[in-house]
Amino acid sequence: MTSFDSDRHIDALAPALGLEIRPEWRAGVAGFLTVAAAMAELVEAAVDDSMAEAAPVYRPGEVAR
Amino acid sequence: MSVPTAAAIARAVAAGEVSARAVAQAALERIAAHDGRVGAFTDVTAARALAEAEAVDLARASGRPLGPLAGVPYAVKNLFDIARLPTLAGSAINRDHPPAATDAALVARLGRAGAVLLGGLNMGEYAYDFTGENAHYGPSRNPHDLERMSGGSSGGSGAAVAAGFVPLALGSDTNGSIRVPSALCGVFGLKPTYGRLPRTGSFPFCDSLDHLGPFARSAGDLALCYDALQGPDPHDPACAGRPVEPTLPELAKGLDGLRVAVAGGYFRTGAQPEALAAVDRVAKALGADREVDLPEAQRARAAAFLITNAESSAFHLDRLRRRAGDFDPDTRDRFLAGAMLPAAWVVKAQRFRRWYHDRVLSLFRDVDLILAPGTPCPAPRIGQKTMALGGAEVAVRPNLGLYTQPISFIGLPVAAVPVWGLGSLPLGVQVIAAPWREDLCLRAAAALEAMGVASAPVARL
Repeated sequence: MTSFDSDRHIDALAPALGLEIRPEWRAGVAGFLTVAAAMAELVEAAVDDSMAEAAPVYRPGEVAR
Repeated sequence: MSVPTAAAIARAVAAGEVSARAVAQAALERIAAHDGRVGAFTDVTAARALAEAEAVDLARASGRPLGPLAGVPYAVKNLFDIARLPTLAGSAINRDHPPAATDAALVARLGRAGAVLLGGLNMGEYAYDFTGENAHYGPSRNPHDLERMSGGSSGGSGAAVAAGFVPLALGSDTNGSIRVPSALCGVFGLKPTYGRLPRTGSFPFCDSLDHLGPFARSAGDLALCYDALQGPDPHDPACAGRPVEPTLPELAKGLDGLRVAVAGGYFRTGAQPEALAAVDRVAKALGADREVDLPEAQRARAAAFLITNAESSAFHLDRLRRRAGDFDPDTRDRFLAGAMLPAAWVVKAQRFRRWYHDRVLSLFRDVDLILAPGTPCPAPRIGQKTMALGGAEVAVRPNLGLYTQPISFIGLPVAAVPVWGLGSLPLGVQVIAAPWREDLCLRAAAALEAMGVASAPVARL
């Protein structure tokens, strides 16, 4: 995976989502994003095109009569 | 001290040896005397409890049939709707919500079984927690050592049962929130199969992974309560709609024929020695004769982390926009981060979940039960931020769920059984079965209790 820059990510995403990241929260938020990026790297390394089906399966219902 | 089990109370009430009102009154008095130091309850519903108890006594006096939990006191994590109370879910923000109009589905079911609700229980904010700490309501403390964590996020549920305030409590478990407090507080807990029990009327954390379940001080009580909770509910789309499959009659079958294995690899790595010793003691008692490897358990934990983080933050997005400053500082930063996760990370995590589910299920062709530690350590001190695991100093908060997260990730049923005698504090062992085989988890838990290997003594307060 490309190197993940949590500060740039926050600068781009927080305003787009309407989230305020106060200065005193920023280090914590960046830290958790860094942890998530490491988790994502682990998962991405194991997932390939043969694993196309996601766990949740949507089943349409029937019209109640 | 001697505090009767749910089964003993129900028997005594049905036989007229004691009134449900007297049982409720005694429980309320114990809570009033000791909960100021424990912090298990956020609301005590005394008037409701006495009214429900009197209704049980009236039913008995009138000769009407009594439910299997007649007169049994219980309490619920405060993310369950309790009619006429706001559903706090451990937050300050939800105090501004209007009171719930009706009870949660599982509260209603226990009420129909004759149980008596004593109140709402403390929890980590919005269930994003393994410690039982809460900046708004104070920590729920471990009744066996008040300076130590109860575990979370159902900390009040574990504490209320260990303190002998109630013989039964309900909690929720998304990544370990029933199993971690069960382990740290030394009580029995059941996380049923994902989709077994309806979440209707409970405040969500992460819909893809949320489970509800009971805590008790005996395996028999756990089965008694779980049987009263079962049944389909069309209002929860994840509820599988299976019929009631009673487990209590199964307990007498004991261990006969059960094939038991110990989870190796990931689940034998990083734990403190006493956590592994607890698994070994249970393994010996159950005659476990093999080790199995749950493939890619570390990636399963990572995928569970991503799904939880993104889905819960999306659920709270509006609150994060408007009132981020009112969150518990220990959850706020994680929720804010989760709101910004790239979609591909989460979608891949759900694809991995399917793969991992299929691989792990294939293990159950050859074994019936798999054993793993509940937590990697006994209860840390309240406020403790780091601990030594596997030769490294790691954060307490996420790592208490190290061994629970890869199991709930695919919704397997687990009985958490308490083991004592490996230090001054209890440890928990996960007894894990294939989906829909809660009966096997509970059979093993009952057998371990009968052998004296698992027990849940009431704390001295």
